[in-house]
Amino acid sequence: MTLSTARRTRGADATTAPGLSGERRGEVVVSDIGLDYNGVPALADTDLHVHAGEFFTLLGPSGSGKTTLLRIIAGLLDPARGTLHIDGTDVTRTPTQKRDIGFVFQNYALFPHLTVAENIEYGLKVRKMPGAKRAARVAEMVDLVALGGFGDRYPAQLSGGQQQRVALGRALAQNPRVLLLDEPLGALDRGLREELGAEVRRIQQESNTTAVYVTHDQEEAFILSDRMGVMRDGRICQLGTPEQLYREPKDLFVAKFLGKTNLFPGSLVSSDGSTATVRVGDHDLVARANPAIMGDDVVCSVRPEQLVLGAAGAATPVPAGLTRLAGAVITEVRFLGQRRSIHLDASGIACSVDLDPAAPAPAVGDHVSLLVRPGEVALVAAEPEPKA
Amino acid sequence: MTATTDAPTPTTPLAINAAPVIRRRIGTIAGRIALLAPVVAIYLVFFVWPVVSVLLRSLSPDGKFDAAAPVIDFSNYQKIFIDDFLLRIEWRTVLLAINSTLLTVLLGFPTAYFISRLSKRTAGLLLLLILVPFWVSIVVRLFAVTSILSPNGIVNQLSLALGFGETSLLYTQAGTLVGTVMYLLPYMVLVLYAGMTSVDDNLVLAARTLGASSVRTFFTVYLPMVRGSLVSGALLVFILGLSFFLVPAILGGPQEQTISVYIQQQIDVYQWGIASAMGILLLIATIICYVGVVKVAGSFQPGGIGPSQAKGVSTSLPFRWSPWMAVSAVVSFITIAFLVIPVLFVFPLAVGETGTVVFPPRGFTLRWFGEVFTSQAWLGPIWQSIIVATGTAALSVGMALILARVTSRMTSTTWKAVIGGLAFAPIVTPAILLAIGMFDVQLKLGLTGSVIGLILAHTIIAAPLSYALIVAAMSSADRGIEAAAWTLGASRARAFWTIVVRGIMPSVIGAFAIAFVTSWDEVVLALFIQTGPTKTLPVTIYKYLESGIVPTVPAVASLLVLVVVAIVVVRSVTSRATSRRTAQLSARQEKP
Repeated sequence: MTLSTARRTRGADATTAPGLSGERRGEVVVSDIGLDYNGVPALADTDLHVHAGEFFTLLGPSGSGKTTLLRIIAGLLDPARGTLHIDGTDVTRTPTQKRDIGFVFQNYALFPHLTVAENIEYGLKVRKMPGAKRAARVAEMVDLVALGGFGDRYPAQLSGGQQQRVALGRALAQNPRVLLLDEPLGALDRGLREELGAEVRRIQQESNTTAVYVTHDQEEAFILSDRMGVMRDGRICQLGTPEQLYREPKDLFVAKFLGKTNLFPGSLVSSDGSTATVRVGDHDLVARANPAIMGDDVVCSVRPEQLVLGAAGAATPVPAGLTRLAGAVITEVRFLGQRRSIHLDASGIACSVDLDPAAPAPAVGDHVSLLVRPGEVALVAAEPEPKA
Repeated sequence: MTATTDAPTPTTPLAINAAPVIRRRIGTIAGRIALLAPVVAIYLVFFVWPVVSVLLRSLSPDGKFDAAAPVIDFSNYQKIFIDDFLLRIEWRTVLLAINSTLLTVLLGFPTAYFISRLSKRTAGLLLLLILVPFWVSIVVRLFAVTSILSPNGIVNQLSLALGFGETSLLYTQAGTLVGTVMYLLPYMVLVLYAGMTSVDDNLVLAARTLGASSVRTFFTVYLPMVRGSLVSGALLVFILGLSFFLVPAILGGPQEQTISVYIQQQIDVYQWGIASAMGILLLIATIICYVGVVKVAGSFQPGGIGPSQAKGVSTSLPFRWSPWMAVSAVVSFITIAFLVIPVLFVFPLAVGETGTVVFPPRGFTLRWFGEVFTSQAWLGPIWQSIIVATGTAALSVGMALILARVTSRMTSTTWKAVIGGLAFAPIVTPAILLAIGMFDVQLKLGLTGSVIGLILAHTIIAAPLSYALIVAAMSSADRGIEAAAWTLGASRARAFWTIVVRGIMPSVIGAFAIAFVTSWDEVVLALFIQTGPTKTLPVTIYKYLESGIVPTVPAVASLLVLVVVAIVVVRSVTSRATSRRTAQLSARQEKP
């Protein structure tokens, strides 16, 4: 990853672990960390390796244990078992104060009785940075988070977005090895969220820290992350780049959680390394193989933008490069600006297709065929349904 | 960017990792205990021991508990329910409490209603007229009432002039009733006002749109909604009236003894047994009533510490004159006059030239003020009061901070409730019971007459109020900011002082102030355990009231009133200024 700006001068705290260059600060290794609340595991024994300088996102629904994991990394919660290393040093028993981290809280947790500048200054004062240097660093941070001229304001006099930036500046002022962010954009409205998300990413890159970001908003995760992990019920289901997770979900939960998808149950016919053959209804399909699948019951996940509508009837020819998946009846047609959303009923399975709005629209009641490119079908193991 | 890499790391056996976590937990528990130990010690020695000591004394016929040969004997209690003289005292006490509660409700309800219907500005002004007498020491107000009711006071003069003949209320049941109602009224009005302003106006409007007449709306919609505060206010007032000592002691005279006065007299002649039994009887009655308050109101809010700020009517239900409103206005006028006149009355008395207190005053002189500031008779008590009140406030805030810190960290709600209940127990306990118990214990410890002893005694009743303020502020403050300070590298102690305490500074100052005022005004405990020659200010005034009024008393009284007025005015001005400033700032913030 190349940096667009020159390396920033470090603060007074040159607590970089020996043997590591400044470039690679903030590697977080979580090994077998677990925690129980009243006997119920809030976090199953979890492994995670966040690379130095990476922007890593933990994505999951509420109660999936993502904040628990983040707080354990921060030292705000004690794990019941397992170890945690930052830059190769075991910090499992190190109190929060000594971990050299920055934490951005969901509600920002700004000190209400201190001004913006004093909030940013707090961590530097704790570290006994000399006055002149401290003032320079505070000015630098105020600029970095684009709050020039607001240094004398109190948190209550700032808008939500501005408060969020103060929280970010405060967490970064002492140049922490790892920046931990707990749904920092959750309280903001949509437009602001996108704008600030990009800014969080920019600031993280410029300040050259590792970031671990917790959110339940997948769009945020897609915009920000180098890599991400999807969490559910206290464990990480899948790790990878946003694209990997979207295109190759490992299980049904990840497939359904990320974006919209159409699910067609089927059974595995054969599998060889990279591709697999599946039977869905009367049709045989070629799909990407998924080593996580154990049994024969599978579900094909096809995104709405990957489906193509073709003429009805099993006998009609299929355009080159496409395979027929199922026959369906159109139940609803909606124009949504950037796309036209078509809802269909494929013999009991409700599914949806996104079409180019400029293309001619089908009518409700039309019989069509659902077509798909063979490589775009993702396979996941079928799950016993009651959950999710 | 590399693909998914779950770093395989060797697993560690569970036991090795589990141990340090447990050690850390034990560490924090030990820290908590070390912090709490002094608080618990003070609580046990100066609250639990006094009450237990009185209880044990009440169970022995001669009022002396002997640990070597403990006896349990109920003859004192038997006497309470058989002896004609004692039964008359008890009946008189209950009657006084009932009558004063009824009168208080009759005056307080229309007043609170009227004020709650006024515009914010007028309501604030009227509340101030109720708050100033409330904060003026009861001894000062009693002094004024004594002069008003005395044979050459204004009531008798007026009655003679109008041809009604001699009307002397001093040392009568009526006089006691007037004094008690004067003391209790502000509590009632403030409790009711808080309840009435929280009623949603839309409910009343809704009843009207459904066709209910205004009388029907009042009884079927409005009254049920304020019933909770009405009942809990009445119970609170009843409890206070039941064990009230000062008014019956000063205005009641020898024929109108109540339980509290009787207890004090028995202690004076060393009849501990019967006095203790009476004290325990009061305690039991009080506990029963408080259980009633908690049942009705859901929780117990110690009277007078909530912020009683004018809220003003909403535009949805504007103020409108009606016969009911007119009656309410008249009652409000009576209530406010009743509360304010005694407070104002001290000023003319203070500048009269005669050596005795007479009304109307003759001549004009500031001589008495000069005398107050030059004679040791007043400078001593003033200095003593300041030292004791400052010490009490400092100790109370310290204890409150520790206790609030520990309870705010607790996760168990039952433990929180238990600690909260225990913390408030001292202010619920009848003052006279606490006073004789404290006297007993401090005699044994050799603390009577010492400043430290009085500070500790006052801390017992002042700390709960400080605690209430601080724990409310701490629990409404964002807990996250402390964790945020930790993540920035601040040690736990540093985070606590620079972030948590600093963040709730207004409440800490308020806690200091309320403890200071509690000690400054306290009479009953100070009366018993101050055996030295120099007494605190209110006790000195009380002593003069008992023995006959010295001309400097009005001067001192008027100075005390002026101090309260000054503080109340300054506070309301500054709080208005702050709210205006924040409004301006937020307005400026709207415009980018």
